[in-house]
Amino acid sequence: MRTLLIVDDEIGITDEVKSFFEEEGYQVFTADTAKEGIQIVSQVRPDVLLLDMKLPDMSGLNVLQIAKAISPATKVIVNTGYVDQAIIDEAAKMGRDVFLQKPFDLMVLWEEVDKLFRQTPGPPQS
Amino acid sequence: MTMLSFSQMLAFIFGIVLTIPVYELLRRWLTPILTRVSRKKHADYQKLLKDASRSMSKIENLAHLFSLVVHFLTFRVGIRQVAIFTRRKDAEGFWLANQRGYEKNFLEYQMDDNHPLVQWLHEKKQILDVQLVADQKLTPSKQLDMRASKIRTMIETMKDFDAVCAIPSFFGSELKNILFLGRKKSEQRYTRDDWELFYNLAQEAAVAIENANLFDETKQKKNELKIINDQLEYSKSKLIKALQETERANKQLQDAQAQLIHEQKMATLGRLAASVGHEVNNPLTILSMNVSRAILKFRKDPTLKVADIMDVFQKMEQNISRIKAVVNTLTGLLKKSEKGKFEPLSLKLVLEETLPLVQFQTYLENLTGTEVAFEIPQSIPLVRGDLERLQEVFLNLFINAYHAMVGKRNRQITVKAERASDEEGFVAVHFSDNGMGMTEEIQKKIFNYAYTTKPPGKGSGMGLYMCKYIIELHGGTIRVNSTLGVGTTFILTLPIHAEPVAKHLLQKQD
Ligand SMILES: Nc1ncnc2c1ncn2[C@@H]1O[C@H](COP(=O)(O)OP(=O)(O)OP(=O)(O)O)[C@@H](O)[C@H]1O
Ligand SMILES: [Mg+2]
Repeated sequence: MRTLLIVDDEIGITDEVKSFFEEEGYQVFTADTAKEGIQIVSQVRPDVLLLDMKLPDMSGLNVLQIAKAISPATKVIVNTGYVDQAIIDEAAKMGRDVFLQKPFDLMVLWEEVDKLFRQTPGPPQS
Repeated sequence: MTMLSFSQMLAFIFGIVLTIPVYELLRRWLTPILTRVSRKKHADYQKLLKDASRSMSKIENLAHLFSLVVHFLTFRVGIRQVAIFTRRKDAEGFWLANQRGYEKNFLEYQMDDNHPLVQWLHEKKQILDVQLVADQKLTPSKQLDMRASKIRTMIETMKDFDAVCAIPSFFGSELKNILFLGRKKSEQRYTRDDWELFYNLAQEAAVAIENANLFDETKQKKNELKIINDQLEYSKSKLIKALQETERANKQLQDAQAQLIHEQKMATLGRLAASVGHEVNNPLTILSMNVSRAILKFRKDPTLKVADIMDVFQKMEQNISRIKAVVNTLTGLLKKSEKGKFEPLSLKLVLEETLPLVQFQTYLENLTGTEVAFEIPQSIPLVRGDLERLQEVFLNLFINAYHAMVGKRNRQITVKAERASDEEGFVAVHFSDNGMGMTEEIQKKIFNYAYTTKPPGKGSGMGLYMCKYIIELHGGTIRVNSTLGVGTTFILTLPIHAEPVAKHLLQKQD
């Protein structure tokens, strides 16, 4: 089963993404703090990580760095509500796979996630 | 002003004096005199002396005059050795002013007033011929003590200077200069006419020397004045420079301030953009997700009824109202701060004016019996902010604290203010309660939109989210410090309402 982790302090977003991708047959994990997010990454090593740059306890950049270190195979979609070019550039350097600017649509997200799975053959769908 | 023009005049005069080839002048005047003297045209002496003295009087620098006279007598007239003694201005006696033709120059040579030679010249007022002294043919005088020892001294002194004669010169009745002349290079003896000429010349020279002396003195005085004036000018120029520098510094300050205001505006814009970016884009993302979820549901099942996905519509509505709140807060603040400025506010007043609202709310909720203490020192500067919005913030903090203290015995809310230690230009407000506190996990989430631990209907989770948003729109920060079971402190920072920097400094300099 494809695994997806959403780290975002907006419950509204995590809720929507979770229910949508679950309906699409994904296993979805959510975290609303960086700490929880990192915990799940190390435990689950998700196929895709949807990561918000603004988190209450830590910079999203740090989470990206740690996640890539713990689980290099995890594809990371970085997203932010505010265009801070420095952060965007830094995230690119740290090896994020996709950047999404908020607001984004579920369709766009789904396309991006699907593309990532098509790029590298993921685990067989059950 | 007068001093300035005076010193300028002086400088002008000096300039002229220095540019005139003094020696040339003297040579032009004295050469004919001396050639004619050598022809011994006695009749012309008076006129020649006049010319000579006239030329000498043109020389106003004393040292220069001495050296020229000596130079002339040795080089032009052909006298082997010449020495000039002149009266000291400050002390008794005579000092060696100039010399030429000696095997070894005297570093210093003084004759005091009771030196027999000085006494003799002073008394006799005539040329002293060394031969007369040696031959002891000096005319005796009542006033003069001419013992052998004295005469020996006279001879020794004249020998020191290889002098064949000593010529005195007077100014009034005062002996001013003594000129020692050695033998002529031609080894010719001095004639009577020579003596006479030299004597008269010496008297003229004395006048010139005196003039030069006076000139030197006045020059010195003028110099002193000039120095004082120069110093004044210097201090004046320094003052002007300092003033200019101050002005420049002020200008720089003003520029810096303008830059700062600009940067602050940019920072404000940036902050606004960031706030709006986050606070609008998040609910907007949720909203668009809600919409696409609804569409997808309809695609999957075209027979779907609206009532079946009512929850999605409710979420949409919720997000729309959230966006409205965020935008309204922002535009409301912008409207109030049209000039880009918040009003200066007294924290104490803001808090005191919030209390009735708190009391009304707690009365409604039956939350009474809490001690509230404000510890806001007089020295706390005014903050920059919007009264109503800050009241909203504090009201939220009060209500949260009241909720957290339900069931506690000694309920205490303390609000302390101090200048922020880590952030220049900010006031830090510590809002503390001794309520139930919270876990670290909860602390991380309390500022999230719609995060609440309260049962449905009791809390919306909007309170602290809006507090953070409002404080951040003010340029400040908010964080929490809490211990489960002990209490909670919220730490807010708010910008100090500062007077423009340059104006403030200017006042100081006045
Ligand atoms: N002083 C406090 N002591 C302990 N917990 C607090 C305190 N203030 C806030 N909290 C916690 O933070 C949560 C979020 O507070 P917030 O003010 O944002 O929402 P709320 O009070 O739950 O609802 P609302 O303010 O919208 O009515 C609260 O539910 C509570 O758990
Ligand atoms: Mg509240």
